[in-house]
Amino acid sequence: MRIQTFISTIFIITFSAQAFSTDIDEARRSFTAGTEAYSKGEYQEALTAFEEAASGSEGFAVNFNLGNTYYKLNKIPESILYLERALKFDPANEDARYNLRLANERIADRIESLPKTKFALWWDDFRFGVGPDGWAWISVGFSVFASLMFFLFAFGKNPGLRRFGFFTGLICIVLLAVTISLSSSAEEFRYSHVSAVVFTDKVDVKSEPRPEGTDVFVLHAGARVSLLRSEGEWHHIEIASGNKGWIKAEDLREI
Amino acid sequence: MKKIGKYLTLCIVIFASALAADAQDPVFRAVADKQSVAVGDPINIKFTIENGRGDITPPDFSDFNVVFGPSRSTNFQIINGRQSSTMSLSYTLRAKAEGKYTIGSAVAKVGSKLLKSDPIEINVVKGKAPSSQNTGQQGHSRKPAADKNLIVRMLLSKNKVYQGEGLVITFELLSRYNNLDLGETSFPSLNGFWSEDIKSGQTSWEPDYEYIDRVPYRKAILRKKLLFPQRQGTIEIDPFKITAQINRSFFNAGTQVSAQSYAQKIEVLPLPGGAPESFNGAVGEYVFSGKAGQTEIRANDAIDLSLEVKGKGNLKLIKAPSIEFPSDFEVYDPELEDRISVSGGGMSGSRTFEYLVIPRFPGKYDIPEFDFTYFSPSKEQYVTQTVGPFQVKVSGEDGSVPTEQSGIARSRVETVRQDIRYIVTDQEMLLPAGNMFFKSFGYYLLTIGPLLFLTGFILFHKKRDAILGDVRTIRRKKAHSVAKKRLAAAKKAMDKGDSTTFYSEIFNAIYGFLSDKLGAEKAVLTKPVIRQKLAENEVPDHMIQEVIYLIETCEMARFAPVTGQSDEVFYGRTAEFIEKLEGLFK
Repeated sequence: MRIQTFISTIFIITFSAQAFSTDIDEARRSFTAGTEAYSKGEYQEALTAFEEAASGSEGFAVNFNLGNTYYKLNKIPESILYLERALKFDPANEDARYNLRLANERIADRIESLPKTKFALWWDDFRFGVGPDGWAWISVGFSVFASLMFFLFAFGKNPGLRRFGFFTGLICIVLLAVTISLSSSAEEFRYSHVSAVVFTDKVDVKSEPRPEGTDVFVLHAGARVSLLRSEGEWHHIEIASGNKGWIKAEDLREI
Repeated sequence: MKKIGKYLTLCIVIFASALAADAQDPVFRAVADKQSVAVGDPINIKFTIENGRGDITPPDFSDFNVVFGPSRSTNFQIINGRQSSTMSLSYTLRAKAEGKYTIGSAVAKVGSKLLKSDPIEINVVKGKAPSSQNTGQQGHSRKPAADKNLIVRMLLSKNKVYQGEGLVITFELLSRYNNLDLGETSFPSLNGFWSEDIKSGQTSWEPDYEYIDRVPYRKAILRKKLLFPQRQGTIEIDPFKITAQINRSFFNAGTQVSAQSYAQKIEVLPLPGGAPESFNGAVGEYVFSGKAGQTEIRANDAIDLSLEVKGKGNLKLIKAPSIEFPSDFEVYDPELEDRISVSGGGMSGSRTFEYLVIPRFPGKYDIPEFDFTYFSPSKEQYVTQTVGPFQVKVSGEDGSVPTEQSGIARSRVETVRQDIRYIVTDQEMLLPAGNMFFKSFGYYLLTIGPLLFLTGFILFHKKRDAILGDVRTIRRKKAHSVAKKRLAAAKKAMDKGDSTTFYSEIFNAIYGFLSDKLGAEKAVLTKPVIRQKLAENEVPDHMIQEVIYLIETCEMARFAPVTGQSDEVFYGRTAEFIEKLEGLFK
């Protein structure tokens, strides 16, 4: 009875994956067409193809390629947006970081920010590199392993084996909890919008969320800002140097 | 001029003095042909004495330039026996600036009389003046001085050129004056052109006459230039002006004459779009060639690379093509060598770029091919010519790094230009959108499922154990009474003298008792198992040996009658053993 439910669930999962697979096949075709156009220097065609691919899929590759294509088409704010999105899937990717640096050199604003250390990069890669699903599968592994260990504990023949089963099982339960929280934080890192890119050529950042507010500082297209909170159509933002202010949602696109 | 013609119906100079006695009172008049003129347009002033002869002193013309004059004419006529004579002095003037001017009175001395003319007011306006009075003139308003004896011209070889295409401008002087002394010549500034003199220096008359309206003129080319327009659109060249002295001699200061040419317009067409990247402004017809001096050299020796552009066009404006030398090469700015001649046909010859390149490290290098593109006005398209690539083999022993470069790491990779890294081409890297495993039903099932399953399994097992355990307890508790019943049945058989049933009942009593007490089936209870289980239950050795002895005796009694001991004794031992074991298991 229990086994049957289990098997039927597995079937449901596989079939739902099957339903998605037609979408992903189409996205892969567009993606390949895009890479071919890009290799010939036909960036406009590449852009259309990659955008089609992005509508049916996600991940590092499609965002990275869109960022590169926008760069080649000289649309730097879009390029920055997509490269930042690509880094959400692979936070330590060296190519994306390099391209993003080049793109950032071509925008008007120079906002001082500390470069990331090797360790910080490694830590980001560890936490977010495999993504929420990666951690989810690892937590499934720990769950299964913990169950096996507790089985040993419950039915072990000799007391040593049972003791081993008990403690390893406990460690696995702790690791299971850790990986679930890692999975959740990876999900938040990838899918929540905590920063944005300015898309208007020149924006006056206000001291309060209304147009009459004092202009605190000025940002230009391509600048990256952190979103703190929002009030109506206004976002409270912070830039890397620590300055804060209010900006209209229409001037931004969320990463 | 035609006005003068009216007065010249008859001209008898010879009789002038003889008939003077009959003259009327002399009259002195000053007349201008226009009251209003444009700046630069000529105006004729004529002072006339009628019925007399005398000296005329002209007024001050300081506000004007005297373009022509004074010219004298004398007129004597007899009509119906009455004679009259006129004498006139005329000037052609040109206003210097706009404004209202008054030409003062001229004074004429006729005999002993002094006559004064009325002053004339002239209004000089800017630009074109109403030229209604110029009846006989050509309609062209830009027509400069009316002096037909002196003409200057600007001639263009073409009126419509591409930007960068050459054209020739010629400044010509045509004259009917014999004795002409060139004064001030003002050539127009040639803004928007890059110009090159074709002919300058000594000006001399051409051997042949040139006829304009069948009038012969002597011609001199004052200057000839080759022009290369540098911007597109219509470029206007201002008129070219000249002043000269005629009939100048030792005794005579001569007369100043001046002339002005038409302005000229040149339409400069833009070069068509879609120029290749290597296009650098060269326009004309060229042949591009290049050669490398030595291609197998030792490190730190120099390679001469010379590129030659040969042909016709704006050669002097050609820039060196950009060559991407390998970064290990030290490249010096190219030296230019021109063999260019400029003639009426344009600029032709060759320009050579001499590159001096020094490879610093041994190895095989490729100097990539490089393009030279020019625009051909005759074909109206861009033409690209390619030279190269050159392969250079640099030999040299290891470690031949030049000492002066010690500050630079040997194998430093120099980034020539920055560009983004290439895209990802692996389509397998695409992930299905919105199909996250985390937090899906399957995920919850697979994480919580195993633990739940295990818990359920353990619970199930515990319960079953509990039930099984109960049965055993009951059996253990009942074991004694069951054994007693069996022993009672054995005693009955013993009383009857049925030895076989007796032993079999005894056997069953012992086995049943052991099976119930140890919680094991009778089938598994072999003698070694019994031994082991009893030992585990801390049953003393002599009792284990006792039970083995009892079992063995029962087994033997099945096949042969028991001798040596009576059934009563055996019964007693068995009953005693069961009581003892019962006591141990309590």
